[in-house]
Amino acid sequence: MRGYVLRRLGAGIVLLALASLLVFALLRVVPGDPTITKLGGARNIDPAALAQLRQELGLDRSVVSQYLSWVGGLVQGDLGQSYFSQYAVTTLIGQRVVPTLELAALAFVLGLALAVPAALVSATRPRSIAARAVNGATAALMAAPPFLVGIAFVIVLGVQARLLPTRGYVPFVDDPLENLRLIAMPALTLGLAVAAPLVVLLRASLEEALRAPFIRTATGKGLTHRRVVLTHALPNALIPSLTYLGVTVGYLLGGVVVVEYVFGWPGLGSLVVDAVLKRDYAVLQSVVLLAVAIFVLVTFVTDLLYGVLDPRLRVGEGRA
Amino acid sequence: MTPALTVDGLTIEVTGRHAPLQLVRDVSFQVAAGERLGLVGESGSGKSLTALALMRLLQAPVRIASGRIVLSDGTDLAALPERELVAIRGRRVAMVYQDPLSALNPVRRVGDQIAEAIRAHERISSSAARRRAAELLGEVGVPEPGRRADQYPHEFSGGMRQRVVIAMALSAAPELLVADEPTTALDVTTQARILELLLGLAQERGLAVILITHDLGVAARFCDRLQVMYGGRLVETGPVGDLYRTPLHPYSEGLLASVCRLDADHDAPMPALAGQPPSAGQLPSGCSFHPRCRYAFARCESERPQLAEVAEGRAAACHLAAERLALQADPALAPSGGDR
Amino acid sequence: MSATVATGPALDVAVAARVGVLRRLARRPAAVAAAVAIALLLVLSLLATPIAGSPTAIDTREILAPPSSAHWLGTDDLGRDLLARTLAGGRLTLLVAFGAMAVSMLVGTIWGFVAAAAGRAVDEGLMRAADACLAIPPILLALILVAAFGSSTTTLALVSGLLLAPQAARIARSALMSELRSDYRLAARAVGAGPLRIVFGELLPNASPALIAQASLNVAWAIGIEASLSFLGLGVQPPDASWGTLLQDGYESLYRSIWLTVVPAVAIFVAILAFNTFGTQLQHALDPRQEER
Repeated sequence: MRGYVLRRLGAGIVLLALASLLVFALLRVVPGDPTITKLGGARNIDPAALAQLRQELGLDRSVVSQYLSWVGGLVQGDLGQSYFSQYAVTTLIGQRVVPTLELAALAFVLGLALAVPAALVSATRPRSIAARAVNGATAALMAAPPFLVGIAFVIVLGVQARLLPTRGYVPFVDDPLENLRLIAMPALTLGLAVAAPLVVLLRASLEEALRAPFIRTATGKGLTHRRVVLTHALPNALIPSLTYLGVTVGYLLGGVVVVEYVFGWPGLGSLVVDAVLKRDYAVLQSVVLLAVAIFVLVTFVTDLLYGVLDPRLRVGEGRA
Repeated sequence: MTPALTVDGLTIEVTGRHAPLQLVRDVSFQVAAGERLGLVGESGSGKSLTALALMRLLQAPVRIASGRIVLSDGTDLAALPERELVAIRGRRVAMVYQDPLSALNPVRRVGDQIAEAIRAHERISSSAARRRAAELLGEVGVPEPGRRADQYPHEFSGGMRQRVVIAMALSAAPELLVADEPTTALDVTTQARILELLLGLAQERGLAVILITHDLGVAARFCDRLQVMYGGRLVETGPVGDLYRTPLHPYSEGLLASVCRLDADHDAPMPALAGQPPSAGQLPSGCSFHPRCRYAFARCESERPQLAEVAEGRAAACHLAAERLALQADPALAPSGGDR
Repeated sequence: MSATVATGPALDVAVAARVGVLRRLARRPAAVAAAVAIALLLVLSLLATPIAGSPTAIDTREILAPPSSAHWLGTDDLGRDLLARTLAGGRLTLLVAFGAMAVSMLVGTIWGFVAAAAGRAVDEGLMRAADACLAIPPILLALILVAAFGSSTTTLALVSGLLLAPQAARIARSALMSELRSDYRLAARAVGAGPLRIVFGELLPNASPALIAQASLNVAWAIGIEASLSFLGLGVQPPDASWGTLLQDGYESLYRSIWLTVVPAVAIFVAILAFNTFGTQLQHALDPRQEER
């Protein structure tokens, strides 16, 4: 078991290193100077000021030494200085991480809470009106990019019905009610975006589980159909869906970028968009790497969880 | 004494885009309380479908088209709505399945799976149910039942798994047990032990058992009475000893001959079964067996023989049944039937 | 002579298989509806100006007007006809999407084919690389690529194309793998056809339905990526207009007129749905196990 954990951990670290290299290389391969943006465009730049700024940011050094000092800083928890603002990258991320975590966590929970019952209805009563509604909604949501769903919410609930505020953020500790009113639409948008592919996946594995012989055994014991589905089919269907958790979180991290922009939510997503617009590579590379790190971590945890939840694997690993 | 089970005119069909196709046709039989009945036939003969129908476990598009399945108290299973079946399955009729590995849920402890069957029919605490589950495991010969109850199916050997399935089937004390090829997935020595266990439990508890098998050796050791199925119909029924000594239907004779008998007379011609069993969509005219039958004559192609009683407790669906009984009863007349 | 006898029937089987897919596809109402919608989208975008007039003509009497007989979908904040702008924007969006699809299919097919044809080590390496690319959320990868290569219509098509290439590589690999195992390749070998002729004459045509299905899905994805990036202001740059930039403009004046948002949003949704549906329906038609559905 320990060997397995170490192997997975090692693979994750290698992936992270590769991603850091890829991100860094992509951002340095192209000519053009991020400092020019800060000094107000390409014309009338004082060469001395430019040189000084480049030296301050370490841009005058070789690409390799820049990469090494970035990675060296990463290990010590220092992500360097923003090219554009005077803040440290860690400070910028620190300011934005709480809103994003709140949004992503709520969206994840909402997504699961929507997907599981929807998949159950769709798999167990495929001919019912409810199942048809679920299937139609899933197909539509799979086609619509998350920000379109968000815009639809804004138009219907915000602009037309005037039920909810359409943009802004208030910390939960300051005003819990307003925070929830503001997070409702973005969280629901992101939750639906996460739920749709989950429904498709869960429906398929539920259908497969329901055909398994042990379902017939459970029915043959005299259990009600509801119990057979909830205590035999669902747990067996959820275990393979676990592998998909990493992909779901990846989806969440991607969706957060555009959804935050739609709702003016001051999280990491809007920080990234801002960084791209201002060519603030120091911020961009670190936030992207953070996303990859979260993804790698979730995948790692999922693998471990899989081993714990599926007794067949648990023993298999123990023997190995 | 009322029989444990009366099946009357059971017909099973598969529905689809085309006209429904009958897989089991007009099957009628009875099982007395405490009787062990064998249902034998090749794969595709409809014996497993009949077994599933007795638990109402057929899944769409396969369904019971007509017929009655009546328990000792007069309940007709074929007519019960789904929600009322919950009280019957496991409690009145229970089933032992062919492949014990896939019959058990791989991610739940076996003790929990047995306890669940107990609690489906009895209001007892979960800890009491778990204790009872361990007792049942001990009863079916699982060593260290307390510890084994906490294990998962994949931690058991094939024979031990089948014991778990049997314990689960007995958990609510049913009066009728349907065993669908319970030893097929097991190796030969384990087969014998499981069969012995089932026999012991059946005698001890006075269980009526329907054993579905393609293995006449298994059936001979276990059953009081045999029923042979071919092409979705019953073709012969009779006490085990009689049927083995004097098979009335040529198909039964072929089945028996295909069993390797060490005491067989090696000089006698071996009437092995040639050809394939028919598929439900293309049953031959007249007697379904006539294309494979070495005794077939003109009438067999045009007229389907009815299952008719030819002697006390013996019936066969063959135009020659009475004749064959007479011939075989007198060993001087023929060693292996007529020569039409 | 015997060689012709060998190839003749084998090739006929391959052709018949392709015709069979088309026929099965035509029996699926959703596939037909999607194909009609795609055809309509293409015609409308190509004939945007003849149909709806100039997208830049300004009608100063009609600013932010609701739909009317003169302007079927109303006008924007400068008095430009929204229908004309949407159709013209569709032309750019579809151009970017088809460009991205072409890039992704070209890169992906070569990628997948090299993996399928080369030895196991190369195959393993290339497919692992594809998996790694699929692991990073596409929008983040797109942001980095846009940051690196800048925002322009061409780079947008290139960037989206590269993003979608790994998935295409997977499909191409599995389609070609199954083709490599089938009989008519042996038949072609028997005639003495060279490897290139086998690839272009036999393998690609027979793998094409699977690749077309993936191409259709990639168009759908590329429309989504274009719309997302342009909506963030990182895609198509003014004065060019695509559905994404129209949506961005409209979203800014949402409280004055919802039409400017609703129209491009619906256009994006319908286009993605059509290409998505066509692609998945084609995949289902190719998979006999799915035929019953």
